[in-house]
Amino acid sequence: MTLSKERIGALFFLVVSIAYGYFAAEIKLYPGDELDPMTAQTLPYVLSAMGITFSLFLLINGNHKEFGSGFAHLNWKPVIALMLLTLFYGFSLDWLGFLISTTVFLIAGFRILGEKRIKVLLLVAVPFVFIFWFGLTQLLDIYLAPGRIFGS
Amino acid sequence: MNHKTNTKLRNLLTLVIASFISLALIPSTGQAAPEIDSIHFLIPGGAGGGWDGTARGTGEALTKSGLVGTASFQNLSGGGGGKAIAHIIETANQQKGTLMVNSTPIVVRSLTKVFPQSFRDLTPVAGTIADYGAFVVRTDSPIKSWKDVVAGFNENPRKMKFAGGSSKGSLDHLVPAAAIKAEGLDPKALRYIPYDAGGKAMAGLLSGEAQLLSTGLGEALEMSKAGQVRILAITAPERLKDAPNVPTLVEMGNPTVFANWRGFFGAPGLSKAEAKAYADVLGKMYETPEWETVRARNGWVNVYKPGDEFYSFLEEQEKQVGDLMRELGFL
Amino acid sequence: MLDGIITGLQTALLPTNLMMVVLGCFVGTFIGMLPGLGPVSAIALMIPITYGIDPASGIILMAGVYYGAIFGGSTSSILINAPGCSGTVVTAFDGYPLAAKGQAGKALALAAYASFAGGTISAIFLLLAAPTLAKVSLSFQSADYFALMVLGLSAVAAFSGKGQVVKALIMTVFGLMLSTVGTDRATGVERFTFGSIDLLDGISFLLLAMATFALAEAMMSVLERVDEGAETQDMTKLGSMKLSKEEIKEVAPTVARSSVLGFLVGVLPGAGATIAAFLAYGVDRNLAKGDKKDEFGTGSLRGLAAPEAANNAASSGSFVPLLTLGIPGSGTTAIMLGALISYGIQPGPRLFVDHPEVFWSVIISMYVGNVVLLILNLPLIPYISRLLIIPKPILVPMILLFSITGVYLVSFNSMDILIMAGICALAIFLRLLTFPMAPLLLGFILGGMMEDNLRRALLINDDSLSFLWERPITLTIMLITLLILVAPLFQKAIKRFFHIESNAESLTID
Repeated sequence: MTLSKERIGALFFLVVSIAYGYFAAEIKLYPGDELDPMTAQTLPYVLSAMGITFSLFLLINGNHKEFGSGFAHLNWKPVIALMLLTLFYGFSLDWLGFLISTTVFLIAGFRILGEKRIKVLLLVAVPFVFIFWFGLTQLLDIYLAPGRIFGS
Repeated sequence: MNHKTNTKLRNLLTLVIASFISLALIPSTGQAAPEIDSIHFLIPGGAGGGWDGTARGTGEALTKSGLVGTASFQNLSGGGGGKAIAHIIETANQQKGTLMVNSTPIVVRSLTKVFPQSFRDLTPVAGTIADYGAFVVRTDSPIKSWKDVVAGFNENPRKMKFAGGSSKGSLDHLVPAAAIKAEGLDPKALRYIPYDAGGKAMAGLLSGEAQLLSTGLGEALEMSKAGQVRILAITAPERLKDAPNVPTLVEMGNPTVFANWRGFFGAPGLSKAEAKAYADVLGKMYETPEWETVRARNGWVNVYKPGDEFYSFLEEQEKQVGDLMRELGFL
Repeated sequence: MLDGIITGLQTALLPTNLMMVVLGCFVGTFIGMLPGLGPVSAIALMIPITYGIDPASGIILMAGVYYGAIFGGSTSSILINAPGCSGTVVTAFDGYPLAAKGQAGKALALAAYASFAGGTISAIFLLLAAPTLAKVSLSFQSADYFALMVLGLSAVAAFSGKGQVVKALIMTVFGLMLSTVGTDRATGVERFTFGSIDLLDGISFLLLAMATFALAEAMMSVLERVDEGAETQDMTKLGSMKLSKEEIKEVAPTVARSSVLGFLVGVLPGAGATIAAFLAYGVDRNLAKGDKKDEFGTGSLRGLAAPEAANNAASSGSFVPLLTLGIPGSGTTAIMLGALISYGIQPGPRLFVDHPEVFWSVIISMYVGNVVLLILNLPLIPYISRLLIIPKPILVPMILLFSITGVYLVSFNSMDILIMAGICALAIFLRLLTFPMAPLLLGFILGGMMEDNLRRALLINDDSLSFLWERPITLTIMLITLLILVAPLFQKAIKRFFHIESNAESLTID
């Protein structure tokens, strides 16, 4: 049995559907709920069964031949770097505040994608972040919490 | 962030727009020195919700009347309000100038362990406004009074279904359950139909799929003014001046009284004196015409419970709600 | 009624109020273009400003902001695949591929025309039939909404290309699964939150759309950097803004159909612009034939025109229950209801009588708003689409930033950013395995409502499913669904039949 793209996907959803069904059993029911024809668990069970059925069908009947060109030639490095940067942004927003973390996010993002000129990095990121911040906080009156490390 | 420039610029923007449309709109600036320089409001939900309206309305009245210098508003949603509670506790030492708006669901949700904290982990400052539960029927409904509901329920609870704008176990469910229980009937037999918003529950009532609607008086009053629904009863202790024709459950011999309060909390560790200063300024707010404008605009009922009074009220409500939820099997 | 219309005209065409419409449209378009910030935020931000002015002007201003925001939302959907609001998610399905093909100008212009047509048709409907429609919309019960959601789900075939049906079904089921995460709206119990407070409120539709479309698309463009030169050339081309006669002929029936459908769905208090757009897209895909059908999802003009006409028509339609019954059908109209009440105006059957100037001027300024948006936006298109000339190293991080802040600025919960990153990684994985993303969103948005309405219908009907055949509306919708599902099978049979009769032509059909 060759491992085509469709089969990888089918296997993934098979696992997801089984896990989903397993955790569906853990949904809390209030006493008396079991008399209702449809509880908080009903749809999850149905979905789990449907997911298992469809992914098994795809596993057996799916396209077995092509694997396409594989994933190795793809440009993974910058994408992984951007993902990590996004995660970092999620953390830094609370601690460093909007202005600093957004500037860092943009400059690092530009660099990851190959823009090396420091002048361009700063001249695009800094004014842009300031205008964005000004528009949000001053014109639209949206409150952005200051970073926690600057807490007074 | 600098709140002063913030407000200034906002006033400027308002002014620019106002003059743009050739209307003279002059923002009133403080007349005397403010009692408190600034208050930061933490709102546990998104823009446009009930908590948002309460905090912004209160802030507007406080600043416009000059009682408070400036006000800023921070929205932080997530976890049914739990995210904001966790935030104010975690960063308590930076939150001396913060008031968090909240309401009855903080009691319900800490009972059902939606979040691990309760009002005891915060510093209750004051309850400011209240909304009472209301039971509503369509204008053409054969149900004419609360007595009809009780009689109908006695006969067949399935013929007296209550719609409400939130899930099972929420206030819209608990209030009719409490009233049914007070009539000596089984609250577990009550059929409650949950909708995901008050407006949709109202549409459900009008479409005829539910016989009754359980909602807040504010919302019910607006709808009854439009002439499509009748309010059978409210859970206030006595008749309200905004709704003199609506009977209370108490006067019909049903002792159920329930207030959905809204009020403000400070960070844990806020000193007695600081909390009192906030409570006092909120108390003074009721006298101002600016507050009256905001209150009338939103149809709120003034119920002022400062400090310790607020705390003991919350304890009492927690017991009332907890007992009922245990009986219904939610705890 | 004619008196009312004239009063309304007089009010709406006052210079002050005209300025209000222009201002509202302008501000709304700007806010709407920021990914994530949609009509709800835009109107909520305007409320404090409207308190100082007279009710009719205030409502007109907000109505302008409303259309502007939806209109602006489609611009970012088309140009960067980042939907400005949930109503314009479907716009990205075909709008972005068009822009990627170097036809950004045409896509933006078509979106503007389709929105305008949708707005015009629904404004006429509002004038003629608002009160009657309001009564009809109230006869819709939970059982009927359930049937409507099933009908919408049956459109899943419309979101899948040839040989993709099973994958589309799997993605729909996955979308349904994601919709069950969070607090159960019926019983209040937690489902699949794994004790995390950040999953308690569920995953927001906008977050999911942003992560699977905008973020994932930007990341994919970096991942699959094949031939820099060729691609950038395509994307930076604005292309002609003009539609040819054939193209107009092709989209005109789509726009007409989708406008009517969108308006009717908008009138229902439990549906809204997002569902209207999904339904219109599905219906048009089902009606399309041959090559035109396969074009959907790869840059079909009809696939762009349908949701654009429908979401605009639905936004006007949602004013019917708001103004005539006082029932808000969406988050946006709920905020507007609050604003109206604070002006001392009670929407409801008496609004015609008590405040005819408000009622009619809102409806007329709705139409004025549509005209203003068209005039305002057509000349701006060449400038707005300049965005695409920005070099990729600068543009991609900007798109990431706008998508992230678009979600963050709604909840202000930084955990949402981490959840987005996780869903984005999953979306990239699934895209590489050639699984379609649109059915995921369809399952997500319809799934939650389908479950809620079915459970309500069962409660109301005392645990019996008899409503499926006892309620005429439910039965009708269910039969239409059945027809849609069964029709393709018959089509094949008919084709086979013709294959025997005449052989030359039928060869090309398969």
